Amino acid sequence: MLKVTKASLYKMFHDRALWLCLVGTVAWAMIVITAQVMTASARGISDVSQLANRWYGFIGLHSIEVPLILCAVLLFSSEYRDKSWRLLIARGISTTNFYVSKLICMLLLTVIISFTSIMTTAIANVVILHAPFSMAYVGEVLRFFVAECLAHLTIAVFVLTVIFLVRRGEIAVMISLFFMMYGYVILFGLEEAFGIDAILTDAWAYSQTAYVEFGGYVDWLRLCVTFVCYLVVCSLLVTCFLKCRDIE
Amino acid sequence: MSNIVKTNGLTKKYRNLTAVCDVNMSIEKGDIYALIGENGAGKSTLMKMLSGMAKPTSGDIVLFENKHPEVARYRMGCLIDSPALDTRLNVRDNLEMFARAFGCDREGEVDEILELVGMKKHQYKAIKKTSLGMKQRTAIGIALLGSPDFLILDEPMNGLDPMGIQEIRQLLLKLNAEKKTTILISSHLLDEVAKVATRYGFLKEGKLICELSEEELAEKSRTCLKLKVSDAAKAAMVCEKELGTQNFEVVDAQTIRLFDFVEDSSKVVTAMVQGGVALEEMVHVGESLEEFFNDLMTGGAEK
Repeated sequence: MLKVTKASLYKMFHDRALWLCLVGTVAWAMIVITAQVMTASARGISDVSQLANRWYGFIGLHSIEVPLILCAVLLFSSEYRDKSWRLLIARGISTTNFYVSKLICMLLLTVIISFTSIMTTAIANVVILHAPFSMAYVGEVLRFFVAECLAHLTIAVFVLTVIFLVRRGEIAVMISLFFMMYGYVILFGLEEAFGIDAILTDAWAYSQTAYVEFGGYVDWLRLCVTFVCYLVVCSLLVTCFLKCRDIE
Repeated sequence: MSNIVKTNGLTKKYRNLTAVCDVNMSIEKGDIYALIGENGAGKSTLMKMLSGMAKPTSGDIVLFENKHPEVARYRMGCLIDSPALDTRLNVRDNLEMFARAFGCDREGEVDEILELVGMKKHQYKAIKKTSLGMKQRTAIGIALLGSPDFLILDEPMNGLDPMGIQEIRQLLLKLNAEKKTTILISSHLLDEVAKVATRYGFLKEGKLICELSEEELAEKSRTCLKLKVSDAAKAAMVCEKELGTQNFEVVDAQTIRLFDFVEDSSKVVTAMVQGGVALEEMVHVGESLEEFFNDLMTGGAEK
């Protein structure tokens, strides 16, 4: 398992997709900060931080997930397209080991992208928007980062599952983006149809960052439980799927 | 000699199609086993089952005398179908990545392999920009990582130029001679296969219809004089009495194949004339692997 993970990490850090996504993430965060300044200036708002939460919500929802989905698809679906994962299986590496190695990479990728986005925004807030820099601010940024990570890790597990199940990069992007934006419509519809409480919709909502606000209340237990539930269900689904099928 | 591969009733079915049917084959250590068959005969499917890419519908595979093939596969190197390389990386990164996955941590191994397959000067070329031949060389390089004891190579000569084919052939022979690497190879270039193989397995419609050693094939396809005569029985007597050989085969009432005097056909002509046999035609026949294969596929050759 360690060997395959090392190989997957090697691939991840030697692929331009990761670095392009990180550059894109930093650029997007800077665009958002610039937009904050311009909006505040146009509306004559002296305290830019009043806009910050709204922008943070926007950043949290899209500037991490979109590059995360694109980067994950570029990095992990190519092995199906190129059929290069067959070489691992032919050397006796199990499909479960392969999946777990990709899962570890995906989780790491999520942390890297989230860290890049949030830290860029946090630093720009201090440097450009002159937000007061204090230990309390640092603590809040870290708290926000951990909460964002947990939420995005849930999405990451889902995206990886989609990649493994559909094996087509472009379809995986579409399904993941659709789920991210409109997943609640389907989940809520299903729950209504089966007459059950909105547990799935709730889990979907907790996998979305709109519920985690900078400086706001964070329900850590629910975030963790949601992540673990996604992890268990998605991992079971993928490992069963891989066990049942031939390697194409 | 120990068995590297042994299959027992190996079968693979895809819905209504039986791709491989009840194959019992064995490959011994040091063999270069050539799997020969027409397109769709089941060669790749058989190789995929051996390498764990396809699950057999029924039957068993024993690899390295281990009944759990998945445990023994770390000793195998594979190249099946097209070269499966990560197109997002360059040649060297592909080898480095797979070297890590296979646990090959010997320093300089990647450089050695690059040198061995002739890709050293193209090592930083993106896979997307390489030719099919270069991809093939890289894929063979990946198969060689970790010095596997058993290589499965499906059409390894595909896309290679004549020089490349020669290099790969020499590489396979060298691996087999120096490291005793067992090789299972399939190719449509039968003449090339014939230059390396020590054993042959002929597949037809998923069934292993014939297995031969190098010597057996040479025996079946050896050169001879094919004589068309007025009376084959009389010609046979001439062969025995005048030429003093029993190394002939009566094919039909008017055809006889003589395995001696191939290089001295004038003696045969003289003996036939003196024995009163009208010689209508004499052809120098040397059956190649290709001709033997064609015979076998059309039902001409015997099992």
